[in-house]
Amino acid sequence: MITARDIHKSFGGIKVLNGVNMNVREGEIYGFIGQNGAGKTTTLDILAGLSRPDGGFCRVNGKDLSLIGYPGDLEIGYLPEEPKFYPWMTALETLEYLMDVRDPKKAQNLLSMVGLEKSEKCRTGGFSRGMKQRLGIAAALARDSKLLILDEPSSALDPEGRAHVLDLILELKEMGRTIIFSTHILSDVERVCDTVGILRDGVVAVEKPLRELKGLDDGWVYEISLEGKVGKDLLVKLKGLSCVIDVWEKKEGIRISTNGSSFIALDLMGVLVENQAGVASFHKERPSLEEIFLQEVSLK
Amino acid sequence: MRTSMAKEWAYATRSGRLVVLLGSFLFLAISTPLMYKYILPMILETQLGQVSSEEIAAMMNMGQRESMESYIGDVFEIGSIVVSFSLCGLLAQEISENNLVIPLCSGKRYGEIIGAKILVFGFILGFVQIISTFATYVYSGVLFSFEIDAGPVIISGILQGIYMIFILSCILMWGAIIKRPIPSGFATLATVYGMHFLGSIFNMEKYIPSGLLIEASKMSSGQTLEVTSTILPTIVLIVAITLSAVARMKGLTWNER
Repeated sequence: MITARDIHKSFGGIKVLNGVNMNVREGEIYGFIGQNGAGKTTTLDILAGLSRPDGGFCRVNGKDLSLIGYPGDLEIGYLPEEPKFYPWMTALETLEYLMDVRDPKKAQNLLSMVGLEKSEKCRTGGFSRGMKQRLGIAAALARDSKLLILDEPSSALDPEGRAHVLDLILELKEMGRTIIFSTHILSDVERVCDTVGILRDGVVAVEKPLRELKGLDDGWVYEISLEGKVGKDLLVKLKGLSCVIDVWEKKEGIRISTNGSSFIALDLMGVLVENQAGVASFHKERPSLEEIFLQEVSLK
Repeated sequence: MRTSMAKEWAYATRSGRLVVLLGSFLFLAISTPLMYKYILPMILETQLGQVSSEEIAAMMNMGQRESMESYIGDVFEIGSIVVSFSLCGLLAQEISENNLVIPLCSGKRYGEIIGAKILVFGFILGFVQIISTFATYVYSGVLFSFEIDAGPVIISGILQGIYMIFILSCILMWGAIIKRPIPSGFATLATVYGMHFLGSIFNMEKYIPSGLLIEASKMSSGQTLEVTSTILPTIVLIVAITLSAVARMKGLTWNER
């Protein structure tokens, strides 16, 4: 559905995208993550036809981006990070305007899909940010597009609203839609995404199926509970091990992310014994997406 | 196109733009004959002292025709400012506030967006001009006497309406270029007054849009309205300016932060 090759974009001499390559397959949910200012919105704006790249090739929904005359030619649904509506229009009127037909029933269905059925006759000027985001999702669905590009669809929502939107995204996938969304909330990505793309330094540094990223990744995380206080010497020595990527001090122990070296557990135990640390529990687990993300970001 | 026009109509009515335009021009239409019949003679009477208001009125030689000519002069001087600044955000604000991002992604075309604005606000401006001109015609006729036929008055209103559509097209073009409402309003006024000024210097008023107002002030039924040579260049200008606004929108980057 989306193929991006070597996309470049600069603003006032500052390079934001430095050769982005992406592949979004039909029917998948693609989570697009990156640090603040990494260029996620810039990338999504380019994919939505709202901004032209300085260089590179991009095919979205089967259409070459350089050949389209209007963003609407891409026939996608797009939710901007801060969806803006006409404040003097009601939610229902907004959807009818965007659908280009007077179809109150369809507009009402869309509003109930996003939980705004009680606000259909309210003017959008009085909407909270969360309500605008919900209306933005309904607007993205108004054209029955097969491809949806959502920029931070759940960032302004309360936990209940977030869960609702994530369920909706899964439901849309079941209906055969392809969805790419950016977010800061990594647990959202873990919950719904098939593929994850991590944007770092203007390039997609990692693009892997989530299961592969989490399951087949070589790294392990060790959760160690200690009986006494965690000494500074211990932390320094652990950080000094070549297999250790990072160490976090926790309430009752430490959490250590490691690379795929052999005999890591032995190395760690060796340091613990050497420092006479009383170990209450010692177990390893696969790293969370947050840890993978931090690992990727720290690699720069 | 229908939904875009409905949206523009809703904007005109709910944002108060329709009321502002109608109210402003009706105020000019009512106040001008009132000014010439009562207020100006009263002011002059207090200043001159010994001359009676009847004598002053006779000296001023005011009638319906003069009152309406003065109104049309006000339409150019004050009406242009009212239209430029009450509608300066029509496109510029939508661009600067990213209101067009979702409509564009939903399939709206630049031509449709601008076309709907021209059609709806062009209709409103035309309607306002005809109503206001007719109002000043009736009121000045009541205060003085009816010297002019109603037919030429309607034509005069239409000519003023076309002139306002020219201002509207300038607002949209500058809105697409500058993307900020108030500077777009000033740029529009500079264009409108600048063209009139240059037209006066080079004696080409007949071929520029403000020539429509000169023709509009010739309201005698006996006088042939030589409007074709003014209307045609004005329409060509309106179309060219509107197309340049559409072309400018095609080159814009949307969703800027």
